[in-house]
Amino acid sequence: MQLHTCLGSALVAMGPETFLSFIPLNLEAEDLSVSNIWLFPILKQYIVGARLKYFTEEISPMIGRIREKAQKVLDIVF
Amino acid sequence: MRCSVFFPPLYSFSTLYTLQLEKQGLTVSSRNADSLAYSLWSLLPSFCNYPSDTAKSFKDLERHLRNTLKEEPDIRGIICTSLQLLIRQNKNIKDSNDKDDIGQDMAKEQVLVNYSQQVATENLRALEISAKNLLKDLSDVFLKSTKDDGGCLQVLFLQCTIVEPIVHACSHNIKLEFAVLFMSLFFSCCARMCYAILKLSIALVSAFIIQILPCIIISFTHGILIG
Repeated sequence: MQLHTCLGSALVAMGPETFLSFIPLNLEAEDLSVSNIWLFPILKQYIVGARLKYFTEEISPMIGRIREKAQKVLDIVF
Repeated sequence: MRCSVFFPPLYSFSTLYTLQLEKQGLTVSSRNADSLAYSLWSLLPSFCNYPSDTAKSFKDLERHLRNTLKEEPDIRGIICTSLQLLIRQNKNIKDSNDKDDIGQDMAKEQVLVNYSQQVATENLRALEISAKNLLKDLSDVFLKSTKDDGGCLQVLFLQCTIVEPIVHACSHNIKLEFAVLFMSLFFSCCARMCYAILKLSIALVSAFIIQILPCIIISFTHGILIG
């Protein structure tokens, strides 16, 4: 809980771009336990005053890559 | 000899079994990827929480959003929430003359320093330019959706909630274009005889006509004067 608040205030102070460059989400790792999924609630709660550009340039390509990967896996299976 | 006859089927059976398991594992991982993508999208409302470059970057974001609206039904709710948030926050800042009521929160205060009324007005103008396209896509989604009543009602509800702030924020020219769009929505609802949707749409159109009546009258009188 305290860690949550602490990281949250760090996020507010740095902004999501610097914050995520320190602790990347790592979603594209092979093993999901390596990726920092626990950051999601903190990000959701504390992002304020971020740049929309960051979302279009970083997050949505990331979504695209993940979707692509999922599709490739499904192609292998079926 | 017997063994060789006997074992191959067993062996292949077990490989089949592992293959089956592997298949399941892969589908699970693909499902995981889907949920990851969804969680990434769910960050969008947070990014729309007083963003610092709405006027500059909204155009790019709009392109992404419109594609997603068409292709991914699950994300529509998130997109609508984010747009609403953007519109509401900017409008609040534009309308509030005294800044006493905002800023109990330290973090918010820090951001709001950069958010003057002028910035909010510019942001709203950028949103206004995109509003027409976004609304058109939302209506398309609604009109093309087939029988599933739940889904189509949901989109319409989203539209209702999203339309109101946009309409309030827009200038008169764009309002007229919206009126045409709503009429088409209204007729499609009549054709479908969906009572619930019909009621909603009547409410929307009537609210809308009241809104734009003054500007129709003004344009008429202008026409008469010029004529």
